[in-house]
Amino acid sequence: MNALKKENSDSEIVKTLIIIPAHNEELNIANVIREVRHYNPNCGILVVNDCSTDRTGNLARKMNVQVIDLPFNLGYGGAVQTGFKYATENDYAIGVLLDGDGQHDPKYVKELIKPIENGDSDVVIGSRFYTGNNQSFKLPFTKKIGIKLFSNIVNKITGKKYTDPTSGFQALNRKALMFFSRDNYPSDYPDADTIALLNFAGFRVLEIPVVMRERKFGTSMHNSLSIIYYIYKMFLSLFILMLRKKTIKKVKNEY
Amino acid sequence: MSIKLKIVIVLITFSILLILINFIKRKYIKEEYAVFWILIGIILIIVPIFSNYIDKLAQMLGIFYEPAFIFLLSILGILLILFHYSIVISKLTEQNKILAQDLGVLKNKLQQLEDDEKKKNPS
Repeated sequence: MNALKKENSDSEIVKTLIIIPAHNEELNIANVIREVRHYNPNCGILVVNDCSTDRTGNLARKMNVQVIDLPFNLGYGGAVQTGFKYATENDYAIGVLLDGDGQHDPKYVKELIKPIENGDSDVVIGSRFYTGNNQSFKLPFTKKIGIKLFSNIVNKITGKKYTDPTSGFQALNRKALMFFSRDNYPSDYPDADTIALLNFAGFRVLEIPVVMRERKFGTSMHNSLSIIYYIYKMFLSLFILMLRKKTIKKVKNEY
Repeated sequence: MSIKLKIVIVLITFSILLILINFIKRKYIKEEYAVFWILIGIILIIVPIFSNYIDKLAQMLGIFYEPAFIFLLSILGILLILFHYSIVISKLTEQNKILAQDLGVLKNKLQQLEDDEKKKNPS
């Protein structure tokens, strides 16, 4: 914490932490950190190294950012949750999730944070498919259909409009960080069910348009996720969520 | 059910129970994970002994081949054990995750403190 303050001595308080979950991203991580720092010089940066077998952890450390090395592979959700725990323990007001593969353009971080700083929203999600965002993002056909199907279901359940529930480019305020630090975060991939859960728990979840890039090097983690398992998991967790709906406690405003 | 079959079932179950209790004694198996094994063991000893009543119960359920009723009970017992294991594994997975995360955060904090210390005392 002290070192973080020193590192960012030009600002009074370090309020925002950018959490970068990374698994075997040695080709991308240095660029990602460089870009993040360029656009957000006053934010703390934490790389959660999910037991990479390459030099991801060392490269990040050389860039003089905070690094947490996990003793074994926890998967995307487990790594992200580690970042949330770190953020709440070190009194950050806002946590921003940004993937270590360079798909998320750090220049949008400011836009993600803005609604939270203004107190208009608790969680802000960067969407590839938001209306007015005419980016043709290359995705496997089945994945596209999956995203469409489950965002439609979530829109029905919550009565709100979400276009990109699988987006891992998110900003969360302290209340949401605390909520997810405990036990409400899925261990594989946060998805439509997470957004529905946030809504049921009384969080204000907002979506804003962002442009995402193709990853520069390496392979995406989502390739290994078979579409059948994905559909099974989403249906089951949405179903369970509907059963639990009445017992989910609304978050209080103080934290 | 023939008397021979009854004796065989009771003997096998009894020896399994003995091994189980020996394992608990040596702390190879924790008491809480032996609950359902002991339960099944007791059922498999009682059923052949009171087989007259059990026969009637089986016939009421439409099972006319008595050993099939014992199979049914055993399979239900095994399912119960597996179900219990799923619960235990899920709990362990969650606890394991929390431990790994906290370990990561603590290691980071320790590194931080060591670095601070080095800066203060460069010797």
